[in-house]
Amino acid sequence: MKMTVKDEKIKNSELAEGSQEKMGFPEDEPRIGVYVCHCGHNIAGTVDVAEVAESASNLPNVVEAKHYMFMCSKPGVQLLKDDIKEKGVNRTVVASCSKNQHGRTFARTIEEMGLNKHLHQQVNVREFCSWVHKKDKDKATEKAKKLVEAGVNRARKLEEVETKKIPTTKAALVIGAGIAGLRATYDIAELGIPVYLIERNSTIGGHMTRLNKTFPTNECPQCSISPLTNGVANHPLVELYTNAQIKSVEGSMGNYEIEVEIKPRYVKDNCTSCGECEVNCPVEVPSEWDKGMSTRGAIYKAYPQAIPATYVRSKKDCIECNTCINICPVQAVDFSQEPETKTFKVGSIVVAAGYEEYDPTEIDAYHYGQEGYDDIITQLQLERMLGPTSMTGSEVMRPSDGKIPKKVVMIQCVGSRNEQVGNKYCTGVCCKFATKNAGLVKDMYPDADVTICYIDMRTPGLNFEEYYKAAQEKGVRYIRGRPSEILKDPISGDLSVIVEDTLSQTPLKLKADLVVLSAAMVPPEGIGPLGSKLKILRSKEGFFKEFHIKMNPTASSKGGIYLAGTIQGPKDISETVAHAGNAAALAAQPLVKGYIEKEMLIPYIDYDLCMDCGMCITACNPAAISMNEDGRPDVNEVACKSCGICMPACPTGAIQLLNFRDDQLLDEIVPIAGGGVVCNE
Amino acid sequence: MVKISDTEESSRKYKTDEDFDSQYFKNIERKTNIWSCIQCGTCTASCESGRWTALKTRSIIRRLVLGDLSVLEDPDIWLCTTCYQCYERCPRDVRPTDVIMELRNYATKLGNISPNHRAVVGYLKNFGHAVPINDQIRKQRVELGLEELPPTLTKYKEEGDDKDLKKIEEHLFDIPEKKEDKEEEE
Amino acid sequence: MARDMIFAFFLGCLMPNRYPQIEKATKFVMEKLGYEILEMEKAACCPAPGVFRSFNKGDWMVHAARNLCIAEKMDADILTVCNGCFGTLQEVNKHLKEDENLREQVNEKLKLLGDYEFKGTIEVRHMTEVLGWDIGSWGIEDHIVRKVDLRASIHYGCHFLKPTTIRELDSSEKPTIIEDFIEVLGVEAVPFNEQLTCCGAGGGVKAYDGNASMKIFGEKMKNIDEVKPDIILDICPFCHLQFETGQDYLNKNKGCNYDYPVIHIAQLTAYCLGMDAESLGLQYQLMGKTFDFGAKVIKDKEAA
Repeated sequence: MKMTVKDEKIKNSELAEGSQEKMGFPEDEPRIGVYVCHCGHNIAGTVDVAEVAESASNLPNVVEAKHYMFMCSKPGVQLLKDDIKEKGVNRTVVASCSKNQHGRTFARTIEEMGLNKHLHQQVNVREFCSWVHKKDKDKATEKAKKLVEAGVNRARKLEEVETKKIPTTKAALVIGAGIAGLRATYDIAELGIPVYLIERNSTIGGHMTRLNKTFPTNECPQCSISPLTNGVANHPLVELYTNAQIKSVEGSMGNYEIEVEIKPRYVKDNCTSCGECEVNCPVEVPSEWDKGMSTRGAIYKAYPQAIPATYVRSKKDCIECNTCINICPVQAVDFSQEPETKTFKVGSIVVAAGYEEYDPTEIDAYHYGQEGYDDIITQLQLERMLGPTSMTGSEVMRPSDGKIPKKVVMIQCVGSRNEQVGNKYCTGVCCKFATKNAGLVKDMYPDADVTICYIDMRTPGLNFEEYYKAAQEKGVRYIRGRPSEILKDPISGDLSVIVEDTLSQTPLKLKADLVVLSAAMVPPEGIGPLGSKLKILRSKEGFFKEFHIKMNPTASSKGGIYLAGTIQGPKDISETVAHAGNAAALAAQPLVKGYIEKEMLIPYIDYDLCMDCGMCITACNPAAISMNEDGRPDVNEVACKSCGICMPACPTGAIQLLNFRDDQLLDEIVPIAGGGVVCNE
Repeated sequence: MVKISDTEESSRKYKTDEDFDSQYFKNIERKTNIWSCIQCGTCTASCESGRWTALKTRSIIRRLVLGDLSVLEDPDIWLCTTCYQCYERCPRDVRPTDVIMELRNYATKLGNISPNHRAVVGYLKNFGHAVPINDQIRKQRVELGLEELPPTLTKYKEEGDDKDLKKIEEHLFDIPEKKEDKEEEE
Repeated sequence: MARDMIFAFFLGCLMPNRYPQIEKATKFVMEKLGYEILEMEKAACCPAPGVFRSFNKGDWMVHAARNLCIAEKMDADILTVCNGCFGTLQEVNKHLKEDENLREQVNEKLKLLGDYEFKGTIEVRHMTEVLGWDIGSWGIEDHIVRKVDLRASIHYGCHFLKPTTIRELDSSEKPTIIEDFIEVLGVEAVPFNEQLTCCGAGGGVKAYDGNASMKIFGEKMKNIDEVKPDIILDICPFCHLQFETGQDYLNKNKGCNYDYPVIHIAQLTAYCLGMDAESLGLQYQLMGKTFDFGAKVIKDKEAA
């Protein structure tokens, strides 16, 4: 089967005067040009490029074989152009670097000349040959010849591949309404695209609303975030759903169908947020939002500025005494509410599910969370204590006795850089937030001793070294050493931190009234099931994996799904906001444009051979193959990722990926395996 | 106060690569973990011995990584009580206790081993026990209603069968003399 | 008798050659609990992990494997009451079972010592583990003849629990196996400062530098003395030796006046299971010679 380019315009055509046929070259016959690159000394220093070109010139269908210093340079690509124009070359083989590096350069070149870009075959004689066989030039040259012959064999049967335009659904889904999700939502909505924003908690704003101050300016995070929370909550193009979670995700890039389950609040929207219900609720449980530093009722609002302001009832905590129902002045409490399921059609998805603070209980030597060790807390718990709505009136108080501590010791890298707990990575923000909190405590209690025990002080970026220095100047004591344990005197009950001051080689026992653990950022609970529903990959650290760490840090492994903020890895707020903005821009692109371009490099099914066994359906990772109404497998050409895994899964060889057919791959393998030239049948 | 002019001729302004043998420990067990030590000091802070003695676990690991062979002559490596507290807590899984015991193997090969430890090896080869029995305990055993001698290699030796002990003596724990001692003898 | 009720009793060095009262007590306890205890003919030093492993790790393994092979031939798991013996035998047994290359190397050298081949057919158990988990506080109850009202400072020692990745027994930072077990004997565990640190004897330090060893031990005793227990309870004859000779040293050289009886878990358990006070062997020990166990017996239990 042959496919032709329909939509592609011939740009900058140097064939303006006419097609190759007009020039007297038969269109159907493969006329192959082979170009061997020296890559300076990279290839030519090991491989005899002239000999490889000479050898290639004798292969069937090869009409031109050349070697050149830098094929990727302007004169290099001109060789291709000239031969296409003058020698009737209609498919090209460049033996140089990898397909990823310059394959596209040459494909684009032949496309400019009116050929389908899929008629270019890249052969890698650098990474696969010259670089790894520097010591044996003869054998390297022989290998290069075989690789080129394989490429020529492959080029001979290459077929043109059509590029199709697929219309997209102009709407986006954002999962998670922390700072990343809010930023992405707002940026997409401002481009005129409707956004469905779903949040699994009862309020939006995420971790940032819990913070007391933000570094490096020590400004109020509520003040920074509230324009955004309000902006999103009131945006005409944003539909916000709290208490909501993803149930299923179907479809592919440009056109997804999402099912969302929304759990009831048990409080209707006419709630005036007067708070009578919570005041009279007999239940008292630790507040999740306040990291256990205060309590809440079974019916509650997470914090005073919470959006939505509507109260929410926790069914698992409620004892159903009905007090709230009876006391509500506007009869807003309604225990009969049921969960509901909604379905959205969107073109792009932004995942901004955030992070969780590492739970240090597994580090036995630090005794966090153990009975009698109440005065060991985490940095987020300290933030909650310092915050304006804190139970302690923003004072730092020891949880055990409410006294203001005279000696505060902070421990860095708790759950970070620790192979014992399986987290090799540096969270990267703890040095900054410990410095912030240590400085704030020192501001409040200048006579208190505040110590930070660290392994390496990492404060890169503009303003942060200054921030570190300012804390030092305030008298925060930095000790370079990772504490081995926190001891509790069984007689006095006093805590002390054992650490080596590595810089003076002194083992220290630091008395501590309060110990603050700078706990790592870890992937949030539920990331596993969410990843399975989205069918996107995770990194070995457990976060969602980006497509490319440098060049594409917000794309996920699946087309049309983007990552924003800490769900991709630890970040501070500035980094999160920038990351989310990029995710929003990428997610919006196909929706603004209205279509995506998709190369039809897809498998074709020979229904005479197909037994309808469904093995290809099982094997297909992006779920692009399904049974049609006749009970026969069908390929969704948009969802297909051209990976080819369906081919080996098929027991009869009925399914064949275009340009990767069994016979094409065999042609390519034969010369490498030492066989002879396989001619066109 | 030491003046610069008083310092020995042999001491130099800088240490140079010649002062280290970066290849010396290349076959040490689990070397990749050891090379990845971040010098956080968790080991030293965990070290009960190091609070009282000169033992600084972190610095021993550092000297090993640098290839500073003076570590093999350093009596400090023999002050580790092998309590494994550093091993348990090391965030990079360096296992310092095992490293120190392996360093002691290196030192022993050079004959760097204390007379007391040499004596313990002698007891093992002579009696099959690092702590041999004595007359008082023989009496005590009988008073307690136990056999005077338990059926270990000591008993067999007393009964005239020292084949096993001879084999142990011949094939295990051959501790070399210290090099300079040998030279003196020659 | 079921195989899991039979043990090859590995004596080691310090127990038979310094503290035979622990040997006596162990046999008493195990037999009372219905176990069969077999002697290991021609066994030798484990050999001690801190010293012999430090001299030559390969030979340390070979010598340990020889002891393991003796028990393999008896088709019985090894029982030990010493943290050092446990440390060596359990670790070598585990490594040789898991690492085929190492097993081949060790077996090659083992041939030089006689008719031995490590096959990997047995386990190595510490008595504390058998008491704490196999029998348990629930299982010992029926065997108790008398309970004692004692306040004990527990010393776990190092090599019973650590390295935790090899022992796989209990947390090394907050172990509870001994505390949980002795409660049913009437004994109260009295925690003290830095309870889980080393006694200072191991790793060859006691032989290498007695002063250093005593510095570490002196701090340990200071912390114990703060809580004034009736006894110091250990599970290892080497720690036992350190607590005995160490107190004596501190009394003679550092002006201390310690006299805490040092009791191995086997001794304590044996007494509660009915062994006479004489066999506890305190008269042979340096400390607590006049300590009257009988006075600590909880009366109602004895009457019942």
